[in-house]
Amino acid sequence: MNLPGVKTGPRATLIGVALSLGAAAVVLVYWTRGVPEPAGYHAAAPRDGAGFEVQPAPTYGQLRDRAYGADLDRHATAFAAMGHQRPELTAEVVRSAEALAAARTARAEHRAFAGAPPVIPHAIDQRDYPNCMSCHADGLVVGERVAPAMSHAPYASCVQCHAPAGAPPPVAATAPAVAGNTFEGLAEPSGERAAPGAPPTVPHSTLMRERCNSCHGVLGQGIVTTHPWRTSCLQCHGPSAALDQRDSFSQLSPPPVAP
Amino acid sequence: MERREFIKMSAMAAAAAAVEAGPARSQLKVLQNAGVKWNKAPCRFCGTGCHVQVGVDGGRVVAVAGDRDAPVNKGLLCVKGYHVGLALYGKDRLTRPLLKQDGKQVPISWDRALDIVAERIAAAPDRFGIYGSGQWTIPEGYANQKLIKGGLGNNHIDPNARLCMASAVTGFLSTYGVDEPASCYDDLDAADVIIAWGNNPAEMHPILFSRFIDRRARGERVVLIDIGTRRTRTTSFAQHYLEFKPHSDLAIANGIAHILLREGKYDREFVEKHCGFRTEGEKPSLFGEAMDFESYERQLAEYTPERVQELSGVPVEQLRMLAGLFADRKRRITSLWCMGANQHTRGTAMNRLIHGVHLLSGHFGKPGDGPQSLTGQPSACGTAREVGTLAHALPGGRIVKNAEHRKQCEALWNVPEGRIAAKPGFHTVKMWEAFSTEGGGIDTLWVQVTNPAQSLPNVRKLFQPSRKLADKFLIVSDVYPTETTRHADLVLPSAMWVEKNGIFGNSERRTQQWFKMVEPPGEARDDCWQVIAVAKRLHDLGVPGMLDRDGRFLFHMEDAAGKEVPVWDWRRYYDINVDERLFSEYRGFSRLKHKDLAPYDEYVKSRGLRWPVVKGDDGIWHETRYRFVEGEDPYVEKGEGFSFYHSTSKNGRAQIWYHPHATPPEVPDAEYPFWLCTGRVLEHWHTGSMTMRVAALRRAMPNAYVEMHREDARALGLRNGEMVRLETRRGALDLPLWLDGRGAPPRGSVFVPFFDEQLLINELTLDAHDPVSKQPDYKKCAARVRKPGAKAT
Amino acid sequence: MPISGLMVTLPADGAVRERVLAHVEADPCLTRGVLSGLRVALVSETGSPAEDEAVVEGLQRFDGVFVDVIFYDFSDVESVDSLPRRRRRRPEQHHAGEGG
Repeated sequence: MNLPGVKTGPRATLIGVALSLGAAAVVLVYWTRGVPEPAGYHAAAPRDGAGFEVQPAPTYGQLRDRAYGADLDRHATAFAAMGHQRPELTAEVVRSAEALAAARTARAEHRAFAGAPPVIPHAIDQRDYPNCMSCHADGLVVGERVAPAMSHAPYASCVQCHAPAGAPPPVAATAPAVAGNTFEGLAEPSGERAAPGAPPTVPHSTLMRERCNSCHGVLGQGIVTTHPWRTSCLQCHGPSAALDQRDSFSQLSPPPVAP
Repeated sequence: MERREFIKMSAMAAAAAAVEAGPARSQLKVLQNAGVKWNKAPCRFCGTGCHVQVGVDGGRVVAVAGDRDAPVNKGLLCVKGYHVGLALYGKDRLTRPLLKQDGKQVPISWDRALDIVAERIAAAPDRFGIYGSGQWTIPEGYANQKLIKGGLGNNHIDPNARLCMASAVTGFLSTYGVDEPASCYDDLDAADVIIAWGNNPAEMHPILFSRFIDRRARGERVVLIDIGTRRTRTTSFAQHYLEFKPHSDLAIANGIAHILLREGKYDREFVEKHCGFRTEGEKPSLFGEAMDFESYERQLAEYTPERVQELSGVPVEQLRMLAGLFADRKRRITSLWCMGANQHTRGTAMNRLIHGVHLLSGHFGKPGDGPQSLTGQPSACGTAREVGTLAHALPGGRIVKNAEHRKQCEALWNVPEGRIAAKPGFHTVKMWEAFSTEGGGIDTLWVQVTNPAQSLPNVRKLFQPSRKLADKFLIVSDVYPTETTRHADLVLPSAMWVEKNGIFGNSERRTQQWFKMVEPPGEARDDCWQVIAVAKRLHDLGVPGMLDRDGRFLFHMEDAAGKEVPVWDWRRYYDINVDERLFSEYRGFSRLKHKDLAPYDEYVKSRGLRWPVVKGDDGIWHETRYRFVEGEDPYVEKGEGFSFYHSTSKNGRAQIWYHPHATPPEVPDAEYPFWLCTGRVLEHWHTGSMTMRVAALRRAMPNAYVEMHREDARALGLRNGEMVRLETRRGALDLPLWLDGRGAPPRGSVFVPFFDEQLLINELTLDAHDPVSKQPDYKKCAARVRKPGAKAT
Repeated sequence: MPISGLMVTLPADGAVRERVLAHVEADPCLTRGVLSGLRVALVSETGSPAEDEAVVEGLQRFDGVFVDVIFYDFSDVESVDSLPRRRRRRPEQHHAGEGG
């Protein structure tokens, strides 16, 4: 069985494939982090568990005043240039354990638990209509960083779910240390396969994650698919009715009355 | 061999990276989705009443998801809701009862704690008060209500909802004769125009905001009009922003009515058939004085657009635009308001005027067309308003002053006639004054599920003095140390949210039930149990009032076999579902004012039901979307079209009120030149005792700040991010200055959020309150700003 | 010949921790890497997936030890082949069952 689009030297590809197989085969849960203490995209250890360095907004952000105004052209040009950095659908996909581990770490760092909305790892305009869509509609490569595409249909008020990971600078200077919390969050799960070579099932809820290519598309970091040109993902990768709350009636438990 | 080495190196690199980057083991939890059990619960935070799916594994909440089957939020949550599970696990949860001894709080046993509470109450039952909350579950509020009014025969119970919803209540009562919105959230799916009156739903009710604003993404045209005193996130989505001078919103509403009348664009048929007119008499009251249409018209004559522009600062064109929308009968207009209109010394008046504009223009009772008051707490409606945990009220819309009402309640409680006192108890501000005054009417105060040391206005006057008086004893039941627990004589650790069974009632009359899913930490226990356990001790001490007509304990409960269950014994508390018993008893009251509730089991099956819930001929319990509307409300007869069947004028009509514009109690002057407004932010809920313990929320908004216009800052020589001193006649506070921040006040106006317990803005606010609702005005007082250390100019 | 990268979280109890580390030193299949606080990186190299599992289970037998598999490779032809071949038959059998 050859996976299209991937150089199929027997050894080169197997590491990536083996990872999910391996996890399933030895029935060990692959684990990165339970409770993220957001630490940015880089896997640097958070300073005494509390300090979060807010990444400065990228320079193109500074081009924009409340409205783009006179800078509109420069703005458009900058975006167009960045668009070219997007990998082709047919580009070779190299998957590695390190990249997967890094991706999982990065994911966990931005979420309180699997399924929580990720925090915003950069400064934002705190008041005006968020222009998140400029970068996050289709996703964008900005130098070494990737602005992932939204994983769900657009909602107008992005910041009502996604909070910045750091305080706004005028307030940050006086920010006290974050209070301790012992919450232990649900981990990002691993997929299961019915048989080797079978497409893995969708191990997470598709609620707010119905656009698979947000994480698994060409800009996907570490968890990229080998076949990004295929667009109907759920025709092969089965979602879970339980996780998607499609069997909600069975979720209602009886009253907790002691025997 | 080389390849093996490479793979081994890779394996080691990955493992080492994980060792270096991973968190401490205590934060890890190895889970598979298969092990997670999901169950429904309403969100713990605001009055929107979203349903969440709570994922539990190993006895702990591990995840939260929006509930797809919930009609309120349809699977979506806001950033607070997504992190609500973390609110249970702050490291400093209160886990043992604490007694203040020699200025220090020391752990004691529950037995001792309950003895102390009971002895304090028994010593002077009429000088005992309960200060509760719109976060009480319905059974909790009901148990407290029964203990104090049906047991002790004392009416000193009031909720913090007095601080947020009282003006909405008086507005509804005096307009429709019955509390709570006639319309519902379905309006947000159907309205063409949404008007936010002094309201910032983008931050405070995000799910309701997205419910209408996201319709734009589906190609619908939704006009948003923001009538505000500062630019907010809501403004950035609005087509029209009407900026008004604080307190002049009354003039704007009058201005709309004026134009509608002068141009003959009001809904003559609706008004003639279904409305009456009222104005305030000599003494402010719920009823006022009736007047005819001509006097109403005459009173409004002075509110010409030009005059209103002068009073409010809103340009004539914008006023005409707004009136033009109301004049158009085909448009569907939904008004939203919350604290801007409620925390207002003319709050009752402003609520009435918003209802009035809708009634006058006939924008009422159709999907998308009507006034919708929003609430801040998850059960301000369900508990404070419906159970009536207010100094003057009884469950089921009864009032203590009315002998007939007392009799009804005594019958339903099965307590001897004459048990309920006829005199209303102290309302919030009076209660705290009484507690903060030597010899004042309250000696022992039990605070539950709220943080008054931070949320009361003018805390230096209302809260802090009591802590220096010898004869005052403060009992606080809470889940975290707060400004209030720190000053308490006795702290009782409580279970919260899914650590107990509960029922909330949201802003659209939706009653929502949930089950206990995890154990509370340490010795934390249900508030409802605490009340019953105290009642039992009072009973054992022989305090009068703890027995019903049949000589049984006030909270007598039996199991299925008819055997009494000692629910006051914590080990036996969950032998039966106490919530269900209390709710079933309370249900009897709900029919008294046509707010019929369904049996408990119906709520178990649903994601909440909107009352009145009435069983149809088909055997199904039907909820009600629109009250007073034929075909929707089961209490409106066929052929009536509309019927305001609780009308204060007893003729089926709603009241359209007239109120003049009036000057607020404190206005900026040369000494204190700025308006100070306070409020919330998206990330934090109220005093932040829960949300400040959630890293994702606290990081995004770690402390309070003061917003100011850039020009004002420049004139004062202040820079963005600099610490500045904010002063009012009541106090001073040093805060970082944020220019062009989350909100943008106009010149001459500043804003400070109130969530931060380190920076208590309510040491500065005014305790002036509305004469009818007694709700204080947190939104307006005079302030000045300067560099700390610099002299006032 | 599977190779796994493991992140092992050691127990807080010092005595048990010493025993775990001694166990690691004594096991020829395990190579010890960086130790940071209570966590240590290990690589296990064994003859078969079953042995690999046994190594992990051996570690988990200690009270308070948690093993996270960070990296797993069985790109070696023999071990991979033996695994899929056995499983690959399943769908065929299933088909046969349907046909009959």
